[in-house]
Amino acid sequence: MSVLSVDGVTFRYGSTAVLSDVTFDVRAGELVGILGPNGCGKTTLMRVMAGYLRPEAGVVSYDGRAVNALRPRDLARLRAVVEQRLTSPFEFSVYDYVLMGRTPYLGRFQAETLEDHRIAEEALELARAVHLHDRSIGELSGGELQRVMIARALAQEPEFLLLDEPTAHLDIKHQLEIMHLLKNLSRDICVVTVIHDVNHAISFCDRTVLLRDGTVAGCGDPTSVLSTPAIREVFGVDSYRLQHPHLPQAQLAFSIPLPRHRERKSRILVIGGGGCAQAVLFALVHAGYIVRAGVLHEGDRDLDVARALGCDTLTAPPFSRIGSADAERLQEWCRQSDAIAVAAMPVGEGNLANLEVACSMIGDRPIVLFSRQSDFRELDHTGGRAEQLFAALEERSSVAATVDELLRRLVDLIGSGSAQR
Amino acid sequence: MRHGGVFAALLLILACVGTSSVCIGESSIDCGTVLAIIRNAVLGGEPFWSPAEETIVLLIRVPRVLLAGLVGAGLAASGAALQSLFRNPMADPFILGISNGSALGAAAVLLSGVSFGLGLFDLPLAAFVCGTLTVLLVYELARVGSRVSTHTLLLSGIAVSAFMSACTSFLLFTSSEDLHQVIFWMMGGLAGRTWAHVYMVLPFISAGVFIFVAFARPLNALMFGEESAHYLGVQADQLKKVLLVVSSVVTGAAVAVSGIIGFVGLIIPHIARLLVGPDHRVLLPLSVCAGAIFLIAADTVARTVIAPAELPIGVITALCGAPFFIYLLRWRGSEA
Repeated sequence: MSVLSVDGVTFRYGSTAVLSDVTFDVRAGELVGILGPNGCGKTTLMRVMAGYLRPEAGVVSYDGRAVNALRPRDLARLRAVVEQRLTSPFEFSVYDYVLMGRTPYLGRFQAETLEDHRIAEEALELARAVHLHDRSIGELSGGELQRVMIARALAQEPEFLLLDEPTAHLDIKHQLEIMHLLKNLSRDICVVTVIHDVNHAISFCDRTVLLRDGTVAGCGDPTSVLSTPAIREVFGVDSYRLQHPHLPQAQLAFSIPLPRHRERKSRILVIGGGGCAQAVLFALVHAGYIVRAGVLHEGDRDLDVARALGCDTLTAPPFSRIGSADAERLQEWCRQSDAIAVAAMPVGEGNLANLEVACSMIGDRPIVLFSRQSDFRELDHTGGRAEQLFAALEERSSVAATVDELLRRLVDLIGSGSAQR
Repeated sequence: MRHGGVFAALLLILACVGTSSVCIGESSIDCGTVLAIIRNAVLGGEPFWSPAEETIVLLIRVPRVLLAGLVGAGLAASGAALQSLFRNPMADPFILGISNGSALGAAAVLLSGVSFGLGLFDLPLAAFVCGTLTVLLVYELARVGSRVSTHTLLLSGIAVSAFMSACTSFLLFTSSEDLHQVIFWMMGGLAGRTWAHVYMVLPFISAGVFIFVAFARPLNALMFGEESAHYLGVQADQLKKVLLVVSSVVTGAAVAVSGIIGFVGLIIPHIARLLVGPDHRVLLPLSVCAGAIFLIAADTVARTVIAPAELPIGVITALCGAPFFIYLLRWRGSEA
């Protein structure tokens, strides 16, 4: 069985350590993605794995044979590399370029045999680039060029295929086509690719190696390696999981983190539902408050968001009526909070208890009603009771129409609540 | 084999140009006589020509044509290899400063009147040694540890060249000697060259060309960069050294016997590439043929156009080569 193992690899350019103690392995039938921010050493790692750069310490081995102990020709029959770019001052035809992949199999004065031509044709076919056969490589588009480069690598008949950002500079369709191609190839050979797109890694890779400053920050199943905290830690961005109805794996959406001015000690309880409290939850958490949310039905977007943001939540089964026990817990949580934020939400019999608890807190705890409208009739599915409760809240608590306003009202009500105080 | 037709055509042209060149001159000799003299020299037979004609053909024109062919072939092959090695279409055999180094050596010998006791070969020897030393210097300056980046090599080549050129200018300027000889040498020429010169460069240039062709496939891989070549199992570092050494020796040998003949090493590989594409397995042999044809033709023009005086051959190569190259470029451009 083919195994590519990277064991304790350390590499430096001059005195700058680029890779330190990188260890992982790749097995046959796997598509492995190497991810990490710019300058974290991905390309260097690829070059070390390919045997182009010699590590200062550690070993890269193919099927147990150390890469530096292999003759360059033998190595070239074992592994092929698709570089990020292809540059040549002179024009070559696609077919001649692909045929060049047979170099490690041919002697100095030996001409290509029919077998070599067959393999080159097959490689073009595998890479779905047959139609480019007679074109000149200088006139290909980015996607076409990538296919042709992959075809040359395949003409080497490698057991291991290494690629450096094969989807860079490609449009979305070509990106997906290349990723599908790699996925198909990985059934027969080991495929390792440096990749920038986290969602491609999640959708296509069997395993991912997450690099950070030249060290392995995570290695394994993409969904668990590319967790929200890991992405925040390594890339410095917030990520949010979205389920595509057709794709098996959730995709991630990214945002630059909101500035966290200070840690606040104040606790805010958010009452919402039906997806109406998402923005409130997001803003409060990022403003540094300790946020809890309840009572949310399973399957509610607000609950997904609260969980993704790491908030404590009170939950109820889908579409159930919130029972008295849950209502009491909510009341208890309300009392433990410094303020309550209520999102104007559609209210039916199932979640009427939420609104009742909120109203029972009027005068007891500072409340801010987050509402973009003043007519609550549309939200009322209880025959008038909810509308009355909303009206009471609107009259006797603060109202905010925007998230920024909500944050200002809270500061007005409970002070800045910063940790330094 | 692909491009077999182009090859056959070029070999035919080479034969024709070579023979015509022997025929043409101050005293023109008809083609049949020339062929008979040559056949006679190899196989023996009854002469029907004058002894003067035989002397002109065998001792003056044939060696000169052969030498022009060898020098043209060597320069063109070196140019083709170096263009790919440096991945730079502007590269030529003189890119590592060999021309200016050799010129300095030649100028030093001619102006100082120093003799190594080799008579006719003092000048070629000095040129060859100085040219080779210059390349070594360029290489050493560009070397960092065991690696040499082609980029630094190119730059140190330019710097060292400029320095050598300045030294030569200084020598010329401060010298009280007649400079005609030095300048004529620097412009390149094959006047008065003999069989001895042919024997002197034949082993270097033929071995060099053979080695270039032997490395044709790795050279193809190298065209896409050292990293890319490495991934195809080509030992780029080693290949680079081999190519540098071989092209320096070939160019050095050519410069030693003919002076600095520009343009051939730069343009012939491009013309060959326009004809058959960049595959070195075809390109190198083709450049060899085309280089030989071109230089034989240019030399013939150089020695006939203002006879009995001679033009420097470098003047002819640029004068004829440049318009032809431009024509080819335009022709290919309009085709695409």
